[in-house]
Amino acid sequence: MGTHRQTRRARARRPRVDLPGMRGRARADLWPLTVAVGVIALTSLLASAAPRLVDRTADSALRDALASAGARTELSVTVPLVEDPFQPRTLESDLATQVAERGTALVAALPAELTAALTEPVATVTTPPLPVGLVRSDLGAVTMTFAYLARDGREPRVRWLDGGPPTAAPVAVTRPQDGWETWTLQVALSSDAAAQLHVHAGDRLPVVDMASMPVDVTVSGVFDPADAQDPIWSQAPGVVEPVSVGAHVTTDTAVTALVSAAFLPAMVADLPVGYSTRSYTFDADPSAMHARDIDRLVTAIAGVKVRPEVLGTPRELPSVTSSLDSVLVAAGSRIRAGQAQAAVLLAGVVAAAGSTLLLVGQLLARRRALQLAQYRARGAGLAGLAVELGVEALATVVLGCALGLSAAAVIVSGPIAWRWVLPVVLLALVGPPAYGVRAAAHGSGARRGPAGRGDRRLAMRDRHLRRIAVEGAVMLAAVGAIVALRARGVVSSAAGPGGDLLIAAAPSLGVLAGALLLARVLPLVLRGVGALAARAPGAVPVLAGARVRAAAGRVLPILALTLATGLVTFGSVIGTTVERGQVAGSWSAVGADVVATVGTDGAAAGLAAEVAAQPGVTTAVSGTVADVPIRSSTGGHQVRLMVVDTADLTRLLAAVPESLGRYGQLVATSGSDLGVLLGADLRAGGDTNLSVLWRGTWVAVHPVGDAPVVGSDAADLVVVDAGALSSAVGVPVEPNTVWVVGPGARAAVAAVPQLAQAEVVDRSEWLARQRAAPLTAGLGHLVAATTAVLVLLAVLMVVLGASASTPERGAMLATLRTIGLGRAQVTRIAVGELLPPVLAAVVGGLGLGVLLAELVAAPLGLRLATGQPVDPSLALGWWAAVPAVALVVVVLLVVAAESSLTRRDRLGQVLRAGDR
Amino acid sequence: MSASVEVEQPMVSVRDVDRTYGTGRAAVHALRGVSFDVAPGEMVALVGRSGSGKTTLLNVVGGLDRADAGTVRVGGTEVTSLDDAGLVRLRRDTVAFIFQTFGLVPILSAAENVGIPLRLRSLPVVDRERRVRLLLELVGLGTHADHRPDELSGGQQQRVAIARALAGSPRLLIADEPTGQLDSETGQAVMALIRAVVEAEGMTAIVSTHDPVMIGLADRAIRIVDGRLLDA
Repeated sequence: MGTHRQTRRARARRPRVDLPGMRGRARADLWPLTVAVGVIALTSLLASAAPRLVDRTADSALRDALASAGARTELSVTVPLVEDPFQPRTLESDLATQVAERGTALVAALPAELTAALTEPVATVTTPPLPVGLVRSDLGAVTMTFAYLARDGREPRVRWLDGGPPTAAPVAVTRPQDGWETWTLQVALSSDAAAQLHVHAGDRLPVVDMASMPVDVTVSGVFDPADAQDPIWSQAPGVVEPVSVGAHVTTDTAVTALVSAAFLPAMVADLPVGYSTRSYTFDADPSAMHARDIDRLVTAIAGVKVRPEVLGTPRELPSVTSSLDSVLVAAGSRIRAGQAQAAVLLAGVVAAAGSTLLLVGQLLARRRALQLAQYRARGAGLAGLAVELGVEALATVVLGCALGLSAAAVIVSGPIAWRWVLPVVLLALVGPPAYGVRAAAHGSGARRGPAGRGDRRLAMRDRHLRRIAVEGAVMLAAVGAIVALRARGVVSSAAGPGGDLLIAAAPSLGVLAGALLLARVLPLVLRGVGALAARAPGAVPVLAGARVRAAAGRVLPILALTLATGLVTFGSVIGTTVERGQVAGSWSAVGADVVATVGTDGAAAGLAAEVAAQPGVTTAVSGTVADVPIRSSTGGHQVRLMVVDTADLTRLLAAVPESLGRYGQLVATSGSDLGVLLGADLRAGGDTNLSVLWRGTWVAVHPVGDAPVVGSDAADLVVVDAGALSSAVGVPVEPNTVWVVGPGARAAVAAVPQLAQAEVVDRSEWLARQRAAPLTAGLGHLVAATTAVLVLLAVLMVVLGASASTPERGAMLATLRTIGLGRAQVTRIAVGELLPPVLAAVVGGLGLGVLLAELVAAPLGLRLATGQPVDPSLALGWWAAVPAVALVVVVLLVVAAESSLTRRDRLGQVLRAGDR
Repeated sequence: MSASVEVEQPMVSVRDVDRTYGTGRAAVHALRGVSFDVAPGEMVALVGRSGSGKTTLLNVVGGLDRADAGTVRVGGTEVTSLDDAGLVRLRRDTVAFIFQTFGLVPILSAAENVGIPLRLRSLPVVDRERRVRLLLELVGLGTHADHRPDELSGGQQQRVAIARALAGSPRLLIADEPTGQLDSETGQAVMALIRAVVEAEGMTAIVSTHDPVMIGLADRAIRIVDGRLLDA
């Protein structure tokens, strides 16, 4: 008996679930539920696919960066040959084997992450360049380097055109000049080198060492590489093709001869101790590298650079040189910035999607308020209703997630990014049931307020304080996130894929905080507008004003719409800024529409005028660009010297439509101390005691201003007047570069025969490459996708917000029509009700989006996407206005749709039903 | 009392009006060959049970619904041949309604509700405010001008509705069970008020009801059963 009673009590306590009622509600509210499923599906699709695509793009970006870096991706380990300077020279007959074994040991000693990311090393043993006593007026002074090349113990494959590999062993000979024992050396020359030197197989080469002692060198054969693209050839510049150094009258030629394993010992023994260099060059293997490994790789490279002893023995202490870590750091910065920028955009979508789901919840609660109150009146408990609504929400979430995640898996496979999906799922699970239960509680009078006026006032104050606390917390979080983002930037704060969540959410939180302020201020403004409208003589203003005042009290629709439009504006500002920044970056990187650099023997002096005469050319200027050493009181290094006539430079800079930074005025001077414009890094040194080496003469220069930001080496740029430099060194400066500005620049350069062989850099091609780069292209696509999703969400918000008030509006407008208002008037009232909050949200969102972009554009590292050396200027594109236009159109469509639907209703029903 | 006027020029003239909702087996014949006249200044009670066709008849007379057959004339205008704009003019200038559910705009104050018909006539602000005050005084709500409907009792809301109905000085007042949502005492007071203002303003009124007390206040009663008039 007792057990029976307990069971009955337990049944009474257990929430009852009304399955037919649930099905009926779902059928009646199919479209809001479908919207919820759609929003969840869309958000989970974007939130899952975008991080995977970003990761994939990051790997592509890394490979792109490695490919663009060329030889800077190499890691070179130089291991000295162990030789005793106090012992007579001997022939180390197994030297090639020793070199191979040392290479194997080196690979084993490298950190595992580096071994995995680097290719098999190329072992090289080289001599310094040795003078060759050949008289060739076209080659200038000729130097020859002997090089042994091997990878994995095997020499590069060649095709013999004349002669062949050495057939004999080195023979010891005593040098008559000093009585030293040396060995005969047989080398192979490439067909290009042999042709330029006019030598054949069997010829002896008049090579002398650094002490001008002759070296007995014979050409055993002439070859062509079996695979000219094999990277092994790049380890010995000049072996495949002689290298010309210098310009015009001062041209020198460097040739590298290939030495076989058999003659490697002779090559080393023929030179004094310490003159031959053994090195092992590893190249980065892009296919084995992933963006996620960058930090570990950088650490490993830094480790072997700082402690190279881990790679060798005390007798063979190696030295490690590599720019790969710098390349990886730069690529990592760009990738982290891209990932963080993507995270910022995703956070915006998640925030807007969450708001939309809350609006769906509100709409469902309003549509069901009467029904839920009736359920309560019939004895349904709030717990049971919560379970029913929770089950419905769960079904919505499961269906939406299944659709979204499946679509994401089809697009790109990978793990689910729960950090982005979970907030949406939680809001969809909790929001609609919470609104529904609250509506049921309010509708049934289950929530009883205090009876006393004082208690009611206290309760109201409590609610007010709670609201202020929540909104204050949002404000504080927004301020904190924005301050953190501005202080740290996305590059340094992106810890792992996706970066710091608070930093990523900073713009969304900022817009949300602004939207909260707007939502609180707007009712006051609309109240004032409503009061003004009430004084108008017609019926439409007072009715529309009253409806607006009523609508303004609902915070969530205004908050959500301001958030969405603010984020759309933010995204569009970022997108436009990057797009325009890339254009500005292209001018900065190239310096003109087309830059043509002629070869060493080319003279570009008269070519500028010829190019300028072509159609579509605004300006054509010639000058000289060369990498030269600069000397200061603290040391010296290489800089990019731009030698150009002062008037031409002024003309060129005036023709460039984009700002190339703030640059000084170059003044044509004469005398030995030249005024120059200096790039940022050189200016930062603050040293005024500078000299540049020009054609063998050190020329003192003094800074007179800032150099324009032109070229990839803009920070190390020195600009000098051509006439002044010519006077200083006593010989005219030969122009080797033509800068051309104008729509017909490319065609103009192509039309000048003397520029046929010139190296041409086209700004539009640079821009296209920059835009096609994985990160920038990916970011562009993500901006477009998130903007489209945000606009769609904003449209849904307007529709949901309008739908929530449709019954009230319909009843009121029908009532008004019975009083004598025409259809046009009630349409104007509906537009007057719906449009002002939308416009206020759009205008507020526009302002907030621009403000947030202004606040966080620099910390977002957009310059890494534009290719500019400085942060791009903020730009607002026309498409920022798209949401405003779209939402106004949506409001008009909603009103038209409502009008069309109510047209079918019999007005007379109002008499009976009162409100519908 | 008004028999000679009724014959010469009735305020409302309904002839052979049919109204059917739906088609085929689902067709509901709400009105079948209904004919009657209402003289100017007359207050007629339309009596019948729920579903008898009272509301449909009032809708057709007031231009809120269209008859399938027959003619309706109000103040000499043939309502059944009016287009949408004509019906709007009719509702604005000639006919006023009092709803069972009051039909007030909940977001407007009592004074603003009453002022709507006057705004539709573009009455100057000063004149409008004066007339609104007068009407609210007339229905005994002079001190409740700034109250919203949800701040008023049911009876007070119906008084505001009456004031609004009178605001445009209509020639015909149509009230569909105006006391349906009121308690008996309030209902009688409201009905007495309608009777009083109809007499005071000299307007014609058709009031649907099934309350015998209310019927007693009318000049005459028209009974409707299953869409047909028993006596007119």
